[in-house]
Amino acid sequence: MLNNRRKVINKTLNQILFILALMLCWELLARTGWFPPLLFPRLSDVLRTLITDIRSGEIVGRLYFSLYLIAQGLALAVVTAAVAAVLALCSPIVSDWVQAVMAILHPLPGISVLPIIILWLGTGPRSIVAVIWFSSVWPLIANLHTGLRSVPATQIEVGQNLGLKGVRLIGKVLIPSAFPYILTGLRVAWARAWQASVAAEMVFGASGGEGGLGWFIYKKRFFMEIASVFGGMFVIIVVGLIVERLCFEWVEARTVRRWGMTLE
Amino acid sequence: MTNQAGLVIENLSKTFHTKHKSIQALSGINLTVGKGEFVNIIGPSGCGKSTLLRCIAAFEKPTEGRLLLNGQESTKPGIDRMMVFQNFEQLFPWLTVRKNVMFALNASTRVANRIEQREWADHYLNLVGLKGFEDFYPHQLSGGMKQRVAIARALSVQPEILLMDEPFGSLDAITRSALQRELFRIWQETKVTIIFVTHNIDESIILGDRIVVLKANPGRIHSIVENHLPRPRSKDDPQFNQMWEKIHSLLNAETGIPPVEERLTGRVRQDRRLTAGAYLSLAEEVHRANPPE
Ligand SMILES: Nc1ncnc2c1ncn2[C@@H]1O[C@H](COP(=O)(O)OP(=O)(O)O)[C@@H](O)[C@H]1O
Ligand SMILES: [Mg+2]
Repeated sequence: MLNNRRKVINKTLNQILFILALMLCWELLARTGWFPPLLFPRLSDVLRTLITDIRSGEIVGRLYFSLYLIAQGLALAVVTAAVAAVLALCSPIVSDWVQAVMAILHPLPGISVLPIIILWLGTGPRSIVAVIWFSSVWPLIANLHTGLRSVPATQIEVGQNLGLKGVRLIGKVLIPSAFPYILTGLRVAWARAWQASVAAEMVFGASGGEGGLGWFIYKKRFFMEIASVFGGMFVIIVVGLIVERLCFEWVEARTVRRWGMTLE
Repeated sequence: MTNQAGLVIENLSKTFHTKHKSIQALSGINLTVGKGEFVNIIGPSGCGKSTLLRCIAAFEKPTEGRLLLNGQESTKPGIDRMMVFQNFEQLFPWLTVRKNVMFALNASTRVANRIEQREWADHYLNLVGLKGFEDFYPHQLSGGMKQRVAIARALSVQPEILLMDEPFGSLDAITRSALQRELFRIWQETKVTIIFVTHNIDESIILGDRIVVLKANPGRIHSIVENHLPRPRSKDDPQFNQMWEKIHSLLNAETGIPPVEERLTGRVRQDRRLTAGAYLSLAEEVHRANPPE
């Protein structure tokens, strides 16, 4: 147990050192003057502009905007997936339909529907939410569908024996029993949504100069403020890591791992 | 006759229809189980033991016949008939031992108040000898302990009948006999009616007052053996051995799976006791490999 923990710490330390070394290489390489600073800025410049951008409130505002759209898209996707999976649970015919639609649309990258979405919904935040929804809804449905089907029949019968049926049976037995799959679905959906929001905003901001991190990067490139472009990318990486490592791992440790329900 | 206390099974038949064939699992079962009785059901694998129990629990709908509990026809699952399964998955892994029991009290609305639920849960966990394990999660328990939790959970809603489908079938021999003793004590303390399915002859003799022997294809009652051996019952008792021989010959005559019989006749001659155990597990194996048409 303790030994194991030391191993994990060693591994993390090793990885951090390697990343620091890479960053040092970046800085030194940029300082040689072999490359035009406009295209390949120093890391120190990137970090300095990043701090300025954060202080000015610009990054925070953009980040907030991105997260706000993602929250909307993900919430819609969760509702859609829940409805689809529960209907599929109730009827084998609907289950076949859901599987067919999933097989056809799952491989389609979310961003590829953007041109159509723009035609239908215009170039506003609604379109970005729609792309986020489209990118995250399939992994959610897939995992929810599998999760609900993998609930042991015995557990359902125990619930029925105790008088549970319908919504109460779903809420008290099926959803908790499928939770490991639901968590995996949410994880994948979050990653997809985050990528989709950035990608969609690269095409247009939102409306009236409003936009998220993707739009920030796009605009900075337009004005050739390359250090800020890198800064925006840093923020995207850091937020992704924080949500994945802190939020999801935190939930996982308190749920599926505590319950001995990990999928692998 | 129909207003009798306890469970009355009248002319029960069950046929499963699958895509390609119909399987008659049970045919013309008539059985009465009195209040507070401990009945064992024994029979070869695939003879419909589980199906019978599942019909009583109303997880399956009988094709013919009916089930009366205290004179009332029962067609829906309910807490008056609680099932304990063989399978360890029956516990909810996301709930602690205590919460698993409280879940039953809450879901069945047997006890509404949280504090009372907790007290009841602890009472029944104490009854099955799990004091001190209330806050463990199921994955932290041994197989025997999991089955104890399942028994406590089923008993907590105070059912009239406890239906047990080979609950000790996945346990090692030592844990199994410890749990048999405990179950007998629990039965005496709670006075609950128990219908206990097994394919282990020893288990059927040690536990119940009556042994219902089923035969296969289609599943029906071959004979019912009254068991009034003095308790505590011991395998060293000559009467136990007589009873054992009797059940064994009833089963042997009616297993209806000849290949196993042939494979075993050699060994039957060497040691009848051991062989019959092996016989049934082999029969199970064969049944799994090629289920009857
Ligand atoms: N849900 C089902 N669908 C089709 N056939 C079934 C089903 N359940 C049980 N059977 C069949 O009914 C017969 C009796 O099964 P079961 O009651 O499980 O036997 P036992 O518990 O005595 O081993 C078997 O032939 C089995 O294949
Ligand atoms: Mg069975």
